[in-house]
Amino acid sequence: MSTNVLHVENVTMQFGGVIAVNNLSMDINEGEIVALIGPNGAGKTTAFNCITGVYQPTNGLISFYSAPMVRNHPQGKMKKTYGGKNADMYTSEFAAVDPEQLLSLTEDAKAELLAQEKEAALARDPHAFSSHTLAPTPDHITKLGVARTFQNIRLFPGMTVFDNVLVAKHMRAKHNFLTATFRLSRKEEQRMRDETEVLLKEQGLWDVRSDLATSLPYGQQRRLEIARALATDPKLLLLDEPAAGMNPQETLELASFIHDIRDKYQLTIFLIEHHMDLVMNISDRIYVLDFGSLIAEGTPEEIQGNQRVIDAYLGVADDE
Amino acid sequence: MENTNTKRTVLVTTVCLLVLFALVIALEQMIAPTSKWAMLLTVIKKGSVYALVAVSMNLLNGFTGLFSLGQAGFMLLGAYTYAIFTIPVENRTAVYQYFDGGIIQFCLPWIIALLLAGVVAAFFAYLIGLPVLRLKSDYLAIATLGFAEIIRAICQWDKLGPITNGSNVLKSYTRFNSFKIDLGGTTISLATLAPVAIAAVCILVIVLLINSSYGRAFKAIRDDEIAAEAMGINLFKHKQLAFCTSSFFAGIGGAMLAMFAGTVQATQFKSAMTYEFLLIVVIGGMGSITGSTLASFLFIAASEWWLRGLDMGKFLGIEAPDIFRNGFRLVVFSVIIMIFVLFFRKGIMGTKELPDLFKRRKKAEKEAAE
Repeated sequence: MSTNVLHVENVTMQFGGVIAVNNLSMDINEGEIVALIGPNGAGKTTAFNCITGVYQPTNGLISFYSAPMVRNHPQGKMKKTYGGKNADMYTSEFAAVDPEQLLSLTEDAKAELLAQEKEAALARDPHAFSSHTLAPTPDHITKLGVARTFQNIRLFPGMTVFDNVLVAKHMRAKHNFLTATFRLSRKEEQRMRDETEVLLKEQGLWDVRSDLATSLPYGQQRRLEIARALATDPKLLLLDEPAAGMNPQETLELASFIHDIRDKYQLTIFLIEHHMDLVMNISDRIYVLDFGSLIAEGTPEEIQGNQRVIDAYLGVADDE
Repeated sequence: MENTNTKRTVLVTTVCLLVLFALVIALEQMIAPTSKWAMLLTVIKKGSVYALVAVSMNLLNGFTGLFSLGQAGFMLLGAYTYAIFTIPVENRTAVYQYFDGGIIQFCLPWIIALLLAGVVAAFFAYLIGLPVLRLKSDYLAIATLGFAEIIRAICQWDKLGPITNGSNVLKSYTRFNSFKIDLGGTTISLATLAPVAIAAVCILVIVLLINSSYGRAFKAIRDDEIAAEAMGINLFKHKQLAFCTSSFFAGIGGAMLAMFAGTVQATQFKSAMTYEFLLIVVIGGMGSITGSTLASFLFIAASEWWLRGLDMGKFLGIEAPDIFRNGFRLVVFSVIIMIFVLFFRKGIMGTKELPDLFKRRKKAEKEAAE
């Protein structure tokens, strides 16, 4: 079995009365290309923002390579179920115990099973039954090895193409404020520049390196954004609508490009996309969100035949 | 290629600086204190001080995108630190006449006091930054402005009198005018060279910082905070670094202003002073070091020299004491600002530097040749 890269457990994101992501659970394994699809406003980007630390989820746990990365137990919800008198309910309800099976067991066997589940939950996350929260800032998550691109391209407009990528190297550079200012870490700077050069040449952006990032054509801006994300040395790459605004030809190229970078950098890729051709073409597995809730998961073939997914996209006919 | 390039840059910079210093010394020798050009020396001195503070403000406003208005407060801290520690012990009874000579009974060399001025300003910036840097745009401006006013009020507090001399003037410390060297009988005054040299070195350090990896991180934060954070840049840490560095140099600028003026009093450092620097930064161009430097000298020359007549009753040979009276200069300044804001929103230089202009010309010539 391959290693679990991203584990999302009961993540809920609530803005006032709106539940943008409702009890989302998913798993992504090493080397997979997984897509998250759904109609507009389904909560896909919100899910991304929870994973990358832009939002702190109202509830739930996100682990990266089996280490808890983001966790929240709000009052009244998980806190009660985790730490309060209903602690066992949590394990029976949310863990892999079948409620039907639970009903058929004797009291002793039931207690034993729940105890086992609780132990397993604690082994996964030592703070599972406490009110301990984890809310790292996005830069911390990037440092762990999760990089992302944005739905509406967010390049640094006042900087050149080269600097846009170079700045992503800043995080892992071995220098400090003084050595960098007084040029005492020239080797480090040179190493960063060399790596940037390699990356830009690979992405075919070397010729435009001294142009302002925003002066590039749209397709190249998307590429630059991916190059910049790759510069942070990620293990997991989150792409938010990488094909938005691309023509069919560019979309086709993007598919092979995503495969290439996955193999080359040994990445796991998680993407949001609306181009169904692309999604069906490159994804190993697909998760479907609708109104914040997961309505289906499976291989592209399974998803294509799923009635709930078709309903979500096309709407259900009124039976009048 | 990269390497020879840096060597050349270092060489060119050093030569330029040395030529500049030599020019300043020569100028000072040539201009007699009574000639009508003596004003030029004042403009150079005060202009250097303003240039340093304006550049330090540009580091925050133009390069990190933090709209801070605390400059006057940090200058005050610098000026006070410098003055307090450089008043000779024998003069302290006279200066601190209402506070029994004060409690500090030692005197530091000027260079150490100057550095200390920066360190104290940076330290307070660190403390203020802890709560304030979590705010954004306008809120940050309001909060820093408030803190600057608080610092000023505290400095005037009677209970701190033995240290700050309350609301009284601090004086008789080492000034620019006392910088001179003896060359076999002839004394060469370095009163103008000193501010120019200190400001040049400090601005050079800021330029080095801006072109370093940290400078790029600052610019990334300015351009897009969310993207910068997604690239692994810790917003708070980097904002704090920019804020402390900027305040460090504002503190040194404050100390230099004290050395220039000869007296320090908290009432000098009102928020109006911060607006002067804001004006300079906007006129010079947000994100341009040479722009801020040029604008500083232009601003000082205009306000101290060229437009003086507007307040004195005679301007460009026109005598009209009814119109050209005290305060008219500020009216003209306001008009200039409005013209800049309306028609030159990016300032004189935009985000370009002086050398960029030469590069562009060379590039264009090359392309034309091809």
